[in-house]
Amino acid sequence: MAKLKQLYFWLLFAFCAVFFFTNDFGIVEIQKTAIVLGVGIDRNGEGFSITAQLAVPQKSEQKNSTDSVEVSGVGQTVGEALTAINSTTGWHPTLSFCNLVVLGESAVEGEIYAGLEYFFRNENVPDYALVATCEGSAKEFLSSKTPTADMSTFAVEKILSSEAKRSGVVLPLSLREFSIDYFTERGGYLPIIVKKEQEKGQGSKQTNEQGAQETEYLFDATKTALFSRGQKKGELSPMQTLTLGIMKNNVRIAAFPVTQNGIGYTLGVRRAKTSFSVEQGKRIKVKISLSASAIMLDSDASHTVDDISKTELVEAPVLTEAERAITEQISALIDETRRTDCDFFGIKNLVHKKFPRTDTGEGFLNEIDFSVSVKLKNP
Amino acid sequence: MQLSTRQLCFIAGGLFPLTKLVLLPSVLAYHMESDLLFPALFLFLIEGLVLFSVMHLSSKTDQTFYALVEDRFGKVFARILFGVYGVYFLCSAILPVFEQNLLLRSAFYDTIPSPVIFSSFAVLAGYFCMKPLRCLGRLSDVVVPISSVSLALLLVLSLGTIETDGFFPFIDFKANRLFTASVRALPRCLDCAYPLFFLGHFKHEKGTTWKVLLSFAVGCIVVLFFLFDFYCIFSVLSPRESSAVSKIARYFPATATIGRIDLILTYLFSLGYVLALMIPLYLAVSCIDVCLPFRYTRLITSAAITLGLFFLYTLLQSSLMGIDNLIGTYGFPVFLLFSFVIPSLSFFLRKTHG
Repeated sequence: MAKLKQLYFWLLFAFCAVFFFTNDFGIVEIQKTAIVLGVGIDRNGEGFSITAQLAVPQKSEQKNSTDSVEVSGVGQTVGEALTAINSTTGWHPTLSFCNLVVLGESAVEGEIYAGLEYFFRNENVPDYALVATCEGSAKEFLSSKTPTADMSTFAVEKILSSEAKRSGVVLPLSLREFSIDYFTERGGYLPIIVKKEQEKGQGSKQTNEQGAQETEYLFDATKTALFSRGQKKGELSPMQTLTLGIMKNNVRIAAFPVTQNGIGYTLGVRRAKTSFSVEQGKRIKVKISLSASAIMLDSDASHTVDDISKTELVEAPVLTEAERAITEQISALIDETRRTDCDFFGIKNLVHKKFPRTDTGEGFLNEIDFSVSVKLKNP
Repeated sequence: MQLSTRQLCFIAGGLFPLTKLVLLPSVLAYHMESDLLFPALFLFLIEGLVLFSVMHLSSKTDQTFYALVEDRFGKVFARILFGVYGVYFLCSAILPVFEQNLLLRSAFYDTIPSPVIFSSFAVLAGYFCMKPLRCLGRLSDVVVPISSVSLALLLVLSLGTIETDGFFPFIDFKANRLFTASVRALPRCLDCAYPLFFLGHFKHEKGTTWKVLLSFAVGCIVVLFFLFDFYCIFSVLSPRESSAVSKIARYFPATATIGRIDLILTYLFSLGYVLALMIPLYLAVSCIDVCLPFRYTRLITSAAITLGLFFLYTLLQSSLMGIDNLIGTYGFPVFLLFSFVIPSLSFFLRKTHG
């Protein structure tokens, strides 16, 4: 019996091994695979134009280790446009390494999620990929040269990195986070990437193969687009973005500019804690409280050695002025959230938790009375 | 005796929860949203009661379940019952096997792999079904600590991504959906019947019942925490997120720098998952072996399972949703009867001495 069992086992093993080792394992030849690192989406009439930035490894040790190629496809849907890339180039786009999805101006004019839905449906696209919008067309943006990285996708990943997020200057969002905001009707926001032409004298311009100089750009993502019900409704200025970043992103240290008595100061805001309290009277009242510590990073006036050595201490008038400036920015944010109905504070969820019977539909934020309290202290 | 108390505890606390961490979270989230803990808790309580009944029976008798049924109802009835149970266990294993297929495909493959790749599990399952019960105990001694630690680490890595803003249980509670969610979740909560077939193969010592129940409770608490963690990460996207266990830890910040270390933990987790899947297959072979006690029954049944799994993978790989709908819609009374009612009533099979 034992021998028969052994015989059976080995026969079965051989049977399955034949099938196992003669299958194709789902492998696609590497030469036919296009590794997509970033995708740009533009609207093109009734359809979409997709630009995929592909990584192309370099053989020569003298050139950059990684070069990029931008390939475009057009289709009625994003999926069709990506398939068009395969049909025109023979490359099979692999989205497993796609870390950036950029929506051009035309793509955010209409329903924004129509362009993003493909990436959300596709299990192979990592949902921690960054999503952003840009000025102009996404195709031109991805094709831009930048001195900070080999490819524009890498440069954007740097300015929207977790380190940048902890400084408060940007509000990066992943596909998952934006999708949650979109489907919970919270609205959602995306960083707007702006190209800034590099000033002359800041380094040599790149020369293309024809010998002509190519303009290089630096990318800035300090502005934020606000969305409500899939439509773009407004923008946050860099100061408003910084303030919202301090409130939401558990900043390590955020450089906040303050002017007091004509002297400019840069304070380092850290350990910021934001709390929301909800009360119901005739109207719902929401109190936003922000407490943080601040240190002196710099000022545009000269100081004595003694003053400089007390780096962490901020004078009381400066702290008071900083509190006023932050309160002003939070009030501006409140005005924006009311005007655009983009609930980036998450007020609707808070109210729904505390007062479930309250209707938190469209226009609800206009029916709330907000109050703001900001407390800064020396560490 | 083939199983020790420790091994029973490992099986109840370390293997039973594993099959509830793949598709169950998304199914519950689809029906109950942020109230997904309630149907899970409800099912775990019922499972706990059934398990208590079985363990209490084991404290009253050293006989196997077959011997108890044979004593009470006769040999013919006992064989028929075990034959039916054999078929039942085979059918109840189909859905978890497909979930395993889904988990491995989505976690470890970028392209759609050939279904033949999964034939290795078919061979392993067929081979394992021929071994004695003590192999299950020994394997659980090795595999459960590994899979438990890996699951714990996956949960720890996911903690930083949790946002409780969208988690508000009780507030939008829909009692009418609780029943639907429980029915759809039931195919993954059938473990409580397995210890009934371990009767007579382990020695019931003082405290065995409570140790096993405590282990089971710990496993349930881990699953409930996992469900909470899962919903806090994915919120309204939860119904879409199948293969939950492979996804919760991938947002850990260090993965951007050092790579997907969570996949190593998922791989280690899947070791325990494979063993958990093989338990119903093993019990199916054992039941059919008892029903048809011929010389080569076990061998033939194991071979049939291997080939059956092989063809399931190749022919029905894309049919998980259809199978889930079919089993979830029509399997409820069958699961209720064989995994809950019969094991609960089996307590009355014990001999009472006047």
